[in-house]
Amino acid sequence: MDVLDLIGAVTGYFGAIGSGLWAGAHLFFTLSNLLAVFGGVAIGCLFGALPGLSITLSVALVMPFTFNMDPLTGLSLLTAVYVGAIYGGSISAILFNTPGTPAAACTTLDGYALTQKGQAGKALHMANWASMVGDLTSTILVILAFPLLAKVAIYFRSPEYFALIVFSITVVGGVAGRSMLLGLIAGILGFLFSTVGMDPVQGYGRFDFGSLELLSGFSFVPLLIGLFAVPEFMRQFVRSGRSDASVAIAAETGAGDDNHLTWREFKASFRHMVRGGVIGLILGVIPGLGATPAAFLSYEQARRNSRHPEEFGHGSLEGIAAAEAGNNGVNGATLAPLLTLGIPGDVVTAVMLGALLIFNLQPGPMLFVTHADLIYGLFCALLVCDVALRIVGIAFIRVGRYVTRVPTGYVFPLILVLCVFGTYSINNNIFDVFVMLSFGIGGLVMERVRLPVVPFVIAFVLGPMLEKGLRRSLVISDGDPMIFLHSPIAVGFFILTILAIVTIVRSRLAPPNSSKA
Amino acid sequence: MRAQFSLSIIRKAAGAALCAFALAAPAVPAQAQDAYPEKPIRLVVPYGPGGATDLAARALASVLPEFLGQGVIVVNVPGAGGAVGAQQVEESEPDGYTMLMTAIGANVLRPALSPDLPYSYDDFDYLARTQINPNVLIVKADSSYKSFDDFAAALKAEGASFKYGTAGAGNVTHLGPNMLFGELGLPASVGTPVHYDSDGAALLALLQGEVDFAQGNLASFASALQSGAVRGLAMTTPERVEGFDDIPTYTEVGLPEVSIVGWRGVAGPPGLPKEVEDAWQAALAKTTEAKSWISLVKKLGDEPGYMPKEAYDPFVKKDYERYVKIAEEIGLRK
Repeated sequence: MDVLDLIGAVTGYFGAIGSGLWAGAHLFFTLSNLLAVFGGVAIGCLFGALPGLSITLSVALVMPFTFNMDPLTGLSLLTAVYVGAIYGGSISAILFNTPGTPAAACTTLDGYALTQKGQAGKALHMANWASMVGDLTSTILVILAFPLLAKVAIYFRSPEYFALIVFSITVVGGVAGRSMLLGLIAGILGFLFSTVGMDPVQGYGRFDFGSLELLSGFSFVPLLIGLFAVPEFMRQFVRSGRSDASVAIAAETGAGDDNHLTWREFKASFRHMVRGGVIGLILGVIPGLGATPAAFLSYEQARRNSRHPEEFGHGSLEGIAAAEAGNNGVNGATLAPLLTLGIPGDVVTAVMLGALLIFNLQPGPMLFVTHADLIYGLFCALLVCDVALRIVGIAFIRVGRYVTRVPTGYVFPLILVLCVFGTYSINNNIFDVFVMLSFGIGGLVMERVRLPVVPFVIAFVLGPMLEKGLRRSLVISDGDPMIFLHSPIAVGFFILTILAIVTIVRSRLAPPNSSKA
Repeated sequence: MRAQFSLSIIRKAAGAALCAFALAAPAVPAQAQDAYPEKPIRLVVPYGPGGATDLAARALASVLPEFLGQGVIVVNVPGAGGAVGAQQVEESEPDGYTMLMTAIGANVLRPALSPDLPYSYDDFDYLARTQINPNVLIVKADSSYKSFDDFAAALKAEGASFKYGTAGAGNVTHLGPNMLFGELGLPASVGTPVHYDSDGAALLALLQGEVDFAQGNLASFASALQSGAVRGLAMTTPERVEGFDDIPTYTEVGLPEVSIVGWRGVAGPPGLPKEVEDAWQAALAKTTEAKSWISLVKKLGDEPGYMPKEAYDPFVKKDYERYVKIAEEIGLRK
């Protein structure tokens, strides 16, 4: 009897999802919705690929046009722009070492290395497939477990949030590079730079020296472009000034015959894509984390589980797959807290909340009762987004590969101009352009003294989250640190952190012949 | 029929795609005008894209050209809690082509909290207030406080100590509850603020049971109120808000001074020529009566709250003074 009940409950659960999807599909599959999805993905890709034009800006700009649309069309358009932009960031990351969006920072590590080997096409296709598979994985899981996912957000209070960040920093610290010490120094510098600006908890100014711009802190995108792209421009510049100027990527790229993604390569990376999708899903459900940490976490997990960890950072297809699947896995997941609790996890979902209100749709549990077909229609849109991602992606990759054939002497100055425009447009403030250039010089210096850039960037992103989690928890407990040990979830993450540290130290202490890179 | 139908949707979608590239420059009615304005106008939003003030500005910019005769381009200049954008407008040429979307944060709270800011609240030529933003006091649905009186009694009880969630230190969600404590004759220490990044994050903390109450933006709490996850105890508007008729106002519960609302409007740099002032005042008065604008604003969670210059100037002054007072009381002015 119990077994029968269970079977009945399970069939009922999935039956409801099935009939929901059926009703949603009826609502979704119209010409205008399909156009919205394909157009949205294309707009998003373009915004994502252009350095400095942020995802938030693309969504905010599209939003006024949804005012007069049918609710599902409008929401599909916004979602598609979001999905497209997260993917689009990888294109400039791979081709020019310039992350188009913060979430693509991780993709530069292997993507640009492949471009320099003349395998840009391979890298671009891998990024495209991984974005699609990662997004698809998390979307399917979101559809199947939507009601449960919303609860995850409820369980992540400040102490749990803090513990999760501690764990993430430890795990991602493995990307540090060859020297643990240099990695740590870079990480601490990243933390330090992230503290510039308004104290995230009390609002006091820190290291602002009386300047309003410094009081706002360093924006992430100018910093990223500075650290990743500007040093590369300098290198190309120095190189092209020499007599053997022919060593431009253009020449390298044109020569490569091995520029298509093979089935074997796809298969070898498939598990990383699925894992990345799941990691993206988990981080996406918890408000306030976002796509950048997901990419790095997924990347590091892939490196640990890869048969060729030594290739990571030197042009590993698996690395690209993991990073892109990780950041795209976040897309669908952020909808869970938004639609069920009305809580936006990031600025993009905040814009979507605005759109929901414009359409007179109040997020919350009742939305699933009153507008179930609309929600399932939106799920259909997410699924179709993945198809659009592939088709639009192919078009962008075609163009991208032409771009690589243009001599670097023309391309890189143009990209630099775009970077200047892009960084200016983020806050419409010239200060950000100086930030970009200063961090560009900083990046060159770091390279000279062999300080790795990645730990700096990770610490810069996660540092403020760590601080907020810690300080909020202590305000809530009136200063009692025991609050972290009262929560089973937090304790679980602390144990995992200790295990991660033990593993890292062990692998570092292992005899050199077994871990030779 | 069918062909026509699909054509219209293609046009709509293609139009949307095209317009997205045109960076939201609205169509300009071709119409003969006086000297001002003869080119599109920049409306600076001192916050990032997607926020409440940004959406308010974009809604305004979609209707204004009809009455102003020129396009209005929304430009986001975020930073330092709105101070960077406000400062940029304050320093700009008073030619009427760079205007500011005012907001309580950038125009009043920042100057009230930081006396060393490079601009003061009255360094602007305020043209009109367009809308107000109701705040609502909420507790979790399973809380034992069924009404504002229950809640006030608990606050006044011996040894009361509450935690409340805010959307950031020094904004209305932080100062509002302090104003409440003050009006009830209680010390500020009765409530400890826990500062989150947004109203949404503060709401989540309330649902998680991490804080006891929150007072913030109605739009951010509206879905939780309607789904019954939280209970609204008091509204900061002078009158009850449509759709939330069961929530009493602070005026009704006998604390009219706690009626603090967020507000937005338009201002220019000091020294605007008279023709610019006149053009904007006339356009804003008409825009705020336009049905399309009113319905947009309501959907975005604001209430239309037009106030002409004559009333807006003293209103801003009064707001500034009371926030300075409260910031000094709780030691936030520095």
